[in-house]
Amino acid sequence: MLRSSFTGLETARRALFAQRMAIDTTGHNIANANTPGYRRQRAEMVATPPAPGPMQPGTGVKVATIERMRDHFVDMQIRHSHASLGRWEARSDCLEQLQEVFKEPSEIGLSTMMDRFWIAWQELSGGATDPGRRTAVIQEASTLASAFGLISRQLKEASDDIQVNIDSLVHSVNATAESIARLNHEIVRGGVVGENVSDLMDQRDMLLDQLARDVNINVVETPEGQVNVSVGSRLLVSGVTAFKMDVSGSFAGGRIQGLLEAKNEIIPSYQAKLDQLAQALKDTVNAQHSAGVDMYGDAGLGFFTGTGAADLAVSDALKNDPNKIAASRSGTGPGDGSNALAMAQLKDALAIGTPPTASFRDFYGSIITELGLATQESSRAADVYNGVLEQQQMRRDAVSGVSLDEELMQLIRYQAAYDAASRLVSVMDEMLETLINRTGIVGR
Amino acid sequence: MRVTNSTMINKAIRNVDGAFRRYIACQEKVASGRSINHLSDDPHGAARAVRLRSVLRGVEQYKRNAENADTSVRTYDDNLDKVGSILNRVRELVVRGATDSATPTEREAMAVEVRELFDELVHAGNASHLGAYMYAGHRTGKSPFEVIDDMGDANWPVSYAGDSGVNRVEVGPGLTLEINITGEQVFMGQSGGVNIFRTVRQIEQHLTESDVPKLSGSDLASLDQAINQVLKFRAELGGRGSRLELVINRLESDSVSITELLSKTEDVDLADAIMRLAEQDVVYQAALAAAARSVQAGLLQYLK
Repeated sequence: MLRSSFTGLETARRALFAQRMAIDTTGHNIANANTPGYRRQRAEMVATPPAPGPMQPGTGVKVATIERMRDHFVDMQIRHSHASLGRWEARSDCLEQLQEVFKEPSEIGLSTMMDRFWIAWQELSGGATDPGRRTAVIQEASTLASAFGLISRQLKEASDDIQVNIDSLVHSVNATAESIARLNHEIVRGGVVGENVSDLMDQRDMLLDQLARDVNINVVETPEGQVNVSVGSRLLVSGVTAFKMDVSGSFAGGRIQGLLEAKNEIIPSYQAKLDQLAQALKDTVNAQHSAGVDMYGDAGLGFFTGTGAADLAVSDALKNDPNKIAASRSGTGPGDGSNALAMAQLKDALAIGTPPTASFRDFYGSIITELGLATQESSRAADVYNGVLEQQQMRRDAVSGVSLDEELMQLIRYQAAYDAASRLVSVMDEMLETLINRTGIVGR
Repeated sequence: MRVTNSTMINKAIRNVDGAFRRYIACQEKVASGRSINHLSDDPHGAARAVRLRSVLRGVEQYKRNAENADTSVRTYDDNLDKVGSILNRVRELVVRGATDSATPTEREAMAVEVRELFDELVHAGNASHLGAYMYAGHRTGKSPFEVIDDMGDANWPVSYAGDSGVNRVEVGPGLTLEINITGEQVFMGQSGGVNIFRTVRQIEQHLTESDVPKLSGSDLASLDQAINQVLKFRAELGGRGSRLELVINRLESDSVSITELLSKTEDVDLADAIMRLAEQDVVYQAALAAAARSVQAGLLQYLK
């Protein structure tokens, strides 16, 4: 088949068009080099088919698609890492807060208060008639009781704070789910009319990452380009519909799960141990106290009142009259400090558990060791997932990130091609000039 | 792997961030002087430190108890020393009164002095230490000895209102020491001793009556027994004193070794910590320098 004289011009036009589009795409990449969540795009050029017939040269180039560079597998891994990191970070934050509540090791922690309480009894045993030592016992006991109360209250406050945190996170998850549903709608609509929806997809991916930090999500992409998001067995986003999140379900990760664990497991377990310690202290001290006799020759009253750590207090009768401290065992006279001594010796007695297996100090020691180890475990796990996430983000970056050096080289390449295509137009122009204006003028 | 600008920048940020965090951690250690600032720095070490500090407080208290006991031993000893010299003075008078050269008038004058010495004895028996009557056993609230003038009374010449209560202090885990002596034992001669007050009053009576045979016989004998009785308790006090001294020495050395152990557990080795801080400083500077260089570099610099 004969080729048209103008075919070359058409080829040049196509080349100019395609290179322009590639340059624009490169420009878009450069412009978005620092945009969070942006994935680089690439103009995929293909040669246009030659005209039919034998020995036909090609007809030029066209941009088939603008490809969005991404790796589904890495995206999924990153979402799972976000969920694990979120969970451990939430736990670690909570445990670090508990460490501050227990204030160990220091001179103002519960262990110091307990020691001082026992020491006051020791002092009293050496001088049972001394009113100063009696008052000191009451004071140290009150300090100890209020230290229990303070820790208990701070645990409660930490738990309340976490609930506020969970509520606001659930709120933000619901809002994000709605945005994703809206983007689903936009993407499908755009896809139908052939628009480039890459940037909308970038936005949606970023929202999915954000969501994964709060709850562990499963993402399924439909052939139409929508994503369905589920949390556990419940759907959160289905096509263009968003559902409200249900906190009572189970989550395999995410900040909300970490916070729920902190609120429902971690804090109550320390609260229970603290209550157990306070209860044992109250029972043991009261039993010893009632075995003694006070300055008036009466049997000792209950020393501590309360039902746990929160309301542990020295009984008012004793607070008002320290002479009611039962320092004496025999009741023979005020100089007898043998019950105070027996009280002081409870310091190392096995008093906690049935049968008793731990002293107050050992039991408290095990609480703080456990707290320290749990904190260490959580922050190490968070560090590990941070490292994993870093690796995965590097892998995502390797596929999706914009390299300015690379874009600049592409720019030079496309510019050169564009220049060459322009030159092709000049060449065609000159050829036609020759053909039209300088041909067939022999003998003129 | 393809490396992009953001990979490089993120990496640089993380490196600088990590180096800075380690630098701050080292600085905290140096500044606080403690290697354990939070439980999670070393959970077992922290628990050990809490335990050691509690043990140390216990030892310090035992030491205070022992020192208080030592003070009270000294007080008893001083008091019994006085009692001993009173009895020795009585003995001198008895020896003089028992000689034939003494006249009944002289003996009567001696009897007056013995009566005064008797009052001093009662006074010594009613001595108090830190607001508590020393010889009253547990009934430290009121004076244990009361003079009875009626010779017909079974308790004549002094009744004892105290009891045999023993006060103990703890000077080690489960290790208690008696700190008091009761008047019943020292003065009243309970369980085989002599009643010192009665002996002295009888001497006074016999001096007044110029009963030389009794003075040189039974009176002198029971007075010597009384003096020995006081000496016996002083010897026991001496024994308690030296035992307390041993206990205090041992508690002091315990306190030193526990403090040392505590320091090893939670104090920072300053030389080591400062070296590490310097090291982290260098690492941090290097990370900053590397970040500055890597962020600058790019093809753009070479394009015209």
